[in-house]
Formats: sequence, C-alpha cells, structure tokens
Amino acid sequence: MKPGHSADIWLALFFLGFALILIFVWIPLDTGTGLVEKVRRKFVIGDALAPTVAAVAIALGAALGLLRPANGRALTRANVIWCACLLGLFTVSLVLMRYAGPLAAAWTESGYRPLRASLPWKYIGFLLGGTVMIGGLTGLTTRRLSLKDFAIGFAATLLIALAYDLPFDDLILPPNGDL
Amino acid sequence: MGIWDHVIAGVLAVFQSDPVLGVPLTILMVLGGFLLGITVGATPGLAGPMAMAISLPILISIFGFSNDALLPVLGFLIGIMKGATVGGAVPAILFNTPGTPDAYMTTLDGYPLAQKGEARKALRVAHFASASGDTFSDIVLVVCAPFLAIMVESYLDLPEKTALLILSLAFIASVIGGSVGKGIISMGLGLLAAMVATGEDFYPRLTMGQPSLSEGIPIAAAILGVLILGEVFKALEDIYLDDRSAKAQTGVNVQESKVEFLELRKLFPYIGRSAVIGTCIGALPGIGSTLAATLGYTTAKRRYAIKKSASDPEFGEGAPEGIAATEAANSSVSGANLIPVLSLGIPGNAAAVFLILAMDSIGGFNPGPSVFRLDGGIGDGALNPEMVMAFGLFTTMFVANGFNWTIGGIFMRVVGVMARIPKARLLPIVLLLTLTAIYVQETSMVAVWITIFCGFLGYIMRRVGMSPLPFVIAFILGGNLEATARQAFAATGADPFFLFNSPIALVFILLAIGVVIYSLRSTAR
Amino acid sequence: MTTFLKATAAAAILSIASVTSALAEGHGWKPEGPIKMMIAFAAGGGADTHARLIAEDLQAATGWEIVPEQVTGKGGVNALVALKEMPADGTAIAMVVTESIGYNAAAAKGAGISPSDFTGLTTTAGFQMGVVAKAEKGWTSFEDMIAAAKEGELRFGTMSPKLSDLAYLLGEAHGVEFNIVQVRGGKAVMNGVQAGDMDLGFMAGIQGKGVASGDLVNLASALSEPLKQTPDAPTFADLGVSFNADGYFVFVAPAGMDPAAREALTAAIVESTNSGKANGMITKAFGGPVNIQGAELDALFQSDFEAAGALMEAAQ
Repeated sequence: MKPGHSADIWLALFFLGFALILIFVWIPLDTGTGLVEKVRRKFVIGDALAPTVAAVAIALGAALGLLRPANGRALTRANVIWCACLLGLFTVSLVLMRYAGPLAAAWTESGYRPLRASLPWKYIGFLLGGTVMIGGLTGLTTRRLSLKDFAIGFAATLLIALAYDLPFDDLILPPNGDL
Repeated sequence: MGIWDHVIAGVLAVFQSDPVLGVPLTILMVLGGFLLGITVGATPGLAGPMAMAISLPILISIFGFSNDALLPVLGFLIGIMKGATVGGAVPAILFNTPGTPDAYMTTLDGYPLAQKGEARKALRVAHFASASGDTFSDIVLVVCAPFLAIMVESYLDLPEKTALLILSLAFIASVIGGSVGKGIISMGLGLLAAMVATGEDFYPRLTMGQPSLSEGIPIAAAILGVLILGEVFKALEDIYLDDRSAKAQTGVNVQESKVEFLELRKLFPYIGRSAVIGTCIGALPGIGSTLAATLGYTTAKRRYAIKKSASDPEFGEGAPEGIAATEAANSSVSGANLIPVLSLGIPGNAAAVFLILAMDSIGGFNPGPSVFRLDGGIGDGALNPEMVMAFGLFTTMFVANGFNWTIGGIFMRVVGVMARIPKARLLPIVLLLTLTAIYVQETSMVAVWITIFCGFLGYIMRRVGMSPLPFVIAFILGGNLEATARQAFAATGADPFFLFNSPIALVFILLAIGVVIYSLRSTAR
Repeated sequence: MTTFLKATAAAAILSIASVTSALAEGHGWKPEGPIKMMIAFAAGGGADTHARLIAEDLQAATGWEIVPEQVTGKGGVNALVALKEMPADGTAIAMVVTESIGYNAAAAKGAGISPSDFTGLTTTAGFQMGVVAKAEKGWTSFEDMIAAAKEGELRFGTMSPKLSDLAYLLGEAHGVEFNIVQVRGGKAVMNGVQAGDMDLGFMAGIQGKGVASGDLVNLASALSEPLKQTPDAPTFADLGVSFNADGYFVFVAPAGMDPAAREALTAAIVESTNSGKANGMITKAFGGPVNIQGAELDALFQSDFEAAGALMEAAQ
C-alpha cells in the first residue's frame, strides 16, 4: 500500500460496511415487500429490489476502490470542525426562523396561527433567522463578526422576503407554511 | 401531420407568445436569462447551474404549472445556461480568475493578452469563438435529437429501455471524476436516495417510520443541496482557511483595440475543431465542458506549434488561438448535451439537470423518446404538443444565440465589475436565497433541513474527491429506472432474464460492463 | 427584470380587484386565514389542472385565499395522512379520488386512515373509465381482444392496485391471463398503449379525443353503467366481473369539522365546478361535473372502503 492511499481505503471500507448494513439489516426491516412478490398469481418486483440494487452498486464501487485506491483526500479535523460550526449556525438561525414569530405572538390573544399572513408577524421569524444566518456565515468565513455584516444580512433578507412576498400572494415565506 | 407542421408550430409558439411591451414574452424571458447568465458567469463563485436553480422556483411561482409556462421558463433557463458560458471568460481574461470552472484554460492566454493592453481583443475573440461553438452545437442538436428519439421509440421495448438506462448510469459513473469506484458509490447513493418512500407498496420504504420522510426526499432539496449548498460550504471554507483569496483581485483596464476580420478568420480552423470536440463530448452524458475545454486547448496547442509563424506569441503567452480554442470547446457543449435530455430523458451535466427539474416540476413535457412521436397528438390533424414544445425549445436556443451574436459582446465588457464582489459576502446570501426557494416550493421546514443535510453530503463528497454529479443524475433517473424495470418484468410475464433475452438489451448490458472495465484500466495507468 | 415588475404589478392589481368584488358577495362562514389545498396528483396533469382551476375560481368568487400545494404519492394516501393531522377549521382541504379513501386507505394498513377520519365535502367529476386499445390492433369488440389474448399473452396497462385487481378479474372471468403492467397515472397508460409497450389499458377519460377520431377503441366500460362516449361497449357486470371502477375526484377535510364550515366550503366548491374555467375544463375532460355531497358522500366512502376487502380477496 502506497502512502496516500489509506484515505481511499478507509472510504471504501466505510461504504462497504454501509452497503452490507443496507442489504442485510436496513432494507429487509424497512420495506413493505420483498425482492419479488407473488401478486395475482404472477411474480412482480417488490419494493426491496431497487434499494438492494443501489446497495450492491455502492458495495461494487467500494470494492473497486479497495482494488485500485487512488490518491484520495480524507476529511481533516479542520473539515469536521467547519461542518460542526456550520451546523450550529444553521440550527440557531433556523430555530429563530421557526419560533421567533410564534414566541412574539404568544402574548396576543389569538396566538400566531391567525396572524401568520399579516404584517409584521409574518416577517419576524424570517428576518431574524435570515439576518443571523447571513451575518453569522460571513463572520464565520472571515473570522470576524461585524455589525456591518449583520446589517448587510438584514438588508439582503428583507430584499428576499419582499421579492417573494409582494408580487405573489400564494407564496409563503418560512416558517408560515408549517403553522 | 408532418414534422414541418410541428416545427412551424414550435417557432410560432415562441414568437406569438403573449407580448409584453410589444415583445413576445418568451423572447423577453430568453433575453432576461441571457443577461443574468452573463452576469452570473462573470461572478467568480457563482455559476450557471446555481442561477438556474434559484430562478426556477421563482419562475414557477410567476408562471404556474400550466403548459403555457414551459417555454418562458425553459427559455429563461436556457438563456442563463448560454449566458454563463460566455460570461465565464470575462473575469478569466480581466482578472486571471475563471468565472466558471470551464473557463480556467481561458486564463492561460486571455490574461497575458489583457496584460499587454489588449483586453478588448481578448474579450472579442472569446465572444466570437463562444458564440460560434454554441451555434454549431445547437444545429447538431436540432438535427440529431429527433432522429435518435424516433429510433429509440421504434426499436426499443421496455426491457431495452431498462438496459439503456443502466448503460447511461454506468457510463456517467465511470467517466465523471477521477475514480471509477467513487463514481459508482456516488451513483449508488443517488439511487438509494431516490428510493426513499417511493415504491409500489403503501408502506413508505426506507423512512425508518419517520412521517416527515413519507413523501420522499424532495427532488429540489436533494439536487440544490448537493450541487449548490455543497459548493457554497466548500467555497466558504476555502476562504476561511486561506483568507487571501477573499480580497478583491486587481484587474486590467479594457482599452480600445480593434480586431480585424482577417484576424478572426485566422482563428476559424481552431474554432471549428474545438466546436466539433465540444459537441461530441456534450452529446455523451456526464463528461462536461471542463474536459471539452481542456481537450480543445491541447489539440489546438499541438496544431499551433506546427502552423505558427515565428513572430506569433506562444500558447500561454497571449495567443488569441488559445482563447478561441477553449471558448469554442466549452460553449459547444451546452447545445449537444440536450441531445440525451430530449431524446432519452437522461441529463448529462448540471445545467441539463436543472432543465429536467424544470420540465418535471411544471409538468406537461416529459423529456424522452415519446416527445418526437408524430402520432403523439390525439386524433387526426392534432399536433403532438410535446413535439411542438421541443421545437419551441430549439427556437429559444436560437433566439439566445441571436442575442449572443448581437449584444453578448457589448454586455460582456460591462460585467467585469462583478469579479470585485467578495465571495464571503455573496455566498451566504446565495445560501439563504436557495433555502427560501426550497421552502417556497415545499412549504415545510423539514425540506429546508433535508436540503442542508444534502448540502453536507455534497460538501463531504467534494472533500473526499467524489463527484456529486453521478449522485444527482442517478437521483433523477432512479425512479424511472425502477418503474421501467418493474414494467419490463411484468410485461414479459415475470421473466427474470428480461435484460438478457433480446439482443439489443444484451448489447447495452455488455457495453455497461465494458465501460466500467475500460475506465478502470485507463485510470489505473 | 422590468418585465417581472410589470407582471407583478399587474398581478397585484388584479388580486386586489378580485378580493373587493368578492367581499360584496358575503358568506355566513369565513376561514381564519388562508386555506391550504393539498392536491394528490402530479403537477401539470389533468387532475392537477382541474384542482388548480377550482382553486382560482373559488378564490375569485369568495375572496378566501387558497394556497394549492402538491402532496403526491401512494394513490392519495400521503395527502390523506397529512390532512388527518391538520386543524378541522376549514383552513386545510385536500383533493383526492374516492379510491384514495376507499381501496387505498383499506390497503395501506400501516397508514392508519379510514373514512371516519375525514369530512367529505363534494365530488367534482366522475371517471369515464374504459378498457381501451389502439384501433390499429384491429379489435372492434371486447371478444376480439379476448380471442387475441388466447393466442398470445397481452400486456394490460393499469394505474392503481385496484385497477390491477380488476384487470386480473376481467381476465379470470374470460379464461385468459394478462401481463398486468401497473404504471403511475393515466397519462403513462396512454403513452404505453400509443408506443406499443402495452396492448390495452384502463383510461379514465383521457381517451376521449382518440376514440372520437378513431385512433383508439373503448372495448368495455369499467363502470357500473355504460360509457357516455361508447354506450354500446359492455360494462364489467355484463362481462361477469362483480366489481367496478366507479370513482370520482373529491374534496375532503379533516374529521370533526363545524357543519357551517362544511356547508360553506361544499357550496363554494360546487359552485365553482358548475361555472367558469373549471366547469369548462371538467366538461371537456370528464364529461361534466358530478357533485355528490353530504350524507350521500359519507355513505359512498364507507361502502367503497368496505368493498375493498372483498375485491382484494377475489383477486388473490
């Protein structure tokens, strides 16, 4: 094994394992019909066949990867940390987007649902979440949180909101379709 | 009803669409898309497919799901696709930064030429070559797609259609990216994702009992996630890890310098060869414009070394031939890659993926062999509406070419400023715009989360050197493959060897195995 | 970009105009907020177009904001499962087919839905379900087709499990076995028959123009009554099959709905199927509106749901 190949070998082993779990555990447990079924006295293809074919393709790809590893890159620690940061930021901003409006409306008599199509309620979650997402992401990327980035974020979010909401009355901004 | 009736009806469908400000709507949409495409192509970090992806939900909201929506929406998307190819050359020449990946080779001669104070000439050559290659490719498309489709429809039964889909997937997985193994894994993952909650039985398979998945993975979420978000995550991390690139590039000024027709004539042989190379590559699903550009450039380099006179600059030192060869090759991919889309329903690259997504979302046009059936219209004297639509689509492509020849060159000189927008500011906005577009279509936060997870998948694939394109194409074709296989199996009276019993199907399957083995050998060397 | 703005401005003006005109009309009941209309059919098909036209007419006539949304898959079961969880205050309705609440709800045991989970509003149109073949096959009657099936296996295209059961029983009654090819949607059956991938198939009205022009033939009616277009074709009962494919497009809401809301929504939908663009489309594609509502509709759901078990058993 040449140096530099190990990342590809690990990748192939990972997908080989994944494919085996698919074929022997997940697919049998999580499909309604088998590989083939007898329906109306004839055999037909069941729901498990196509996923199994997909899993066999993954296993085949992994096997080829084991046989002929290339000089692939592995995920570095820095990559994983980057993903975690992104995931954290998305969680914060999407939770804000989803719940800020209902929270603000918690003190009104009716609650958020009847208000979700009226100003200013319908924009609260989207503006807050969107601003945090754009400002935070720019800040994360440039390693420096700045008020200017959040201001740009707010302006961009407002523009997006208006661009969708003003012209089209049957388009719904997040999160108002979930409520 | 003959084929010419359909051609005429298709052309009329474009030119007689509802006029806005006195201009037919579809033509205005092509123009809008084309200008947007040049702008996006000229912005490093944005690419044509990204703009197509974000525009699509907005366009669908404007035009709705009726048949009348197809041509304006597809016209706009085709405009973007063509504009972006031209626009990609602008920052490559002015700032030494390719606006789109396939314009990398353009920097090699474009930037040196610009440094010599001949930026305008470089842009002019790029535009001329790009427009020529594009037009050539479209002509090939219009001539080939209907015949290929008719042949498929008259010779292929359900088992052969199944085998053809398998062959296409095997080909795409093997030729995209550097590693056959990773390509096949990517394809397998795409097929698997397409299987979630689909299937015939009422139990939603592979959802692990999650009701939020019971409608399956939304097609827009998977495609936009893997292709757009994955790219945004990676590009932002690149800036994070190396913040030098976040700074704006220093550029050269566009000065006046005339290009004589004689000078352009000298480029014809280079443009011609590259256009043929690009068209051939475009017609094969999955290879893409970057390889076409590379091949076009290297072929031209070889010829140039023999033909050039002593006073001409070498390739890499500002030879207009280098720009022409690259731009003609990468632009001639875009028309030809619609050949497999329209005749077989198989997308060959990211731009084609979004065209299929648009057709699929709007409905009423199912790309594939049935499009070009003369008896597709119901009843005597009725035109086949899908064939009319196909010729309408061809018309929009030529309208876009018309805009390219007339105003494309002028507009290119205007958008150079786009390269100065810092990516770290732009990409987060693109991200929110994408997520909002998904939400507007799916109206569920779950779909937004699915998109984000697909984004991480796309990011990881890019980081480990696995091309995301086989994933996306397999995701699109997966449902079709399963349905055709089920039908073929049922139609042959449950014959387990239905893929091997007809000679045509057998040939397709053998070719599929052959292409994997061949690619494996050629990459091992 | 200016075109966008122009179109936008025009759209905005139009919508304001329609709202004001509608407010004048007045109804006893008014929804709280926009009404989500789930459509259980793929975008762009006949069923989807008809639902969207009704939504447009409804919005114009009442001033209620209607938001159509695709919830496709599993023969309407996905839409019904989603609808069941929604509030029963008239802000969520779905358009499915009676088969979704009947056969499909009974077959999808894991989904846990039954007619009692829903409030039926009204049907909009019925299917003209025929057994159809291409004229160039040379069959002029049902018997011709059976004779051909005895010569060699025929491929029978269907678009739902219930129709597959019916195709099987039809073959059984005449001593032939069809190769039943189940596809998604009536359009796919039509394409399959046209392209020669299938020899015959069920079509629910889409065959109208082709039959009229002589390209297609209605060999039999899969309904309890003769087809409007081909009254001479035998019905399934004539052909010895005791089940039929009677079915309708239908609007439903979650169970436990306020009767006033049910009445207002039903009346508004009925009105829109009988006037305007929706009526034109329904008349052209499905032979005119059919409005079964109230107790009669409840009974229809229940009997379809109960009959499903017998059909499934018969087709074992």
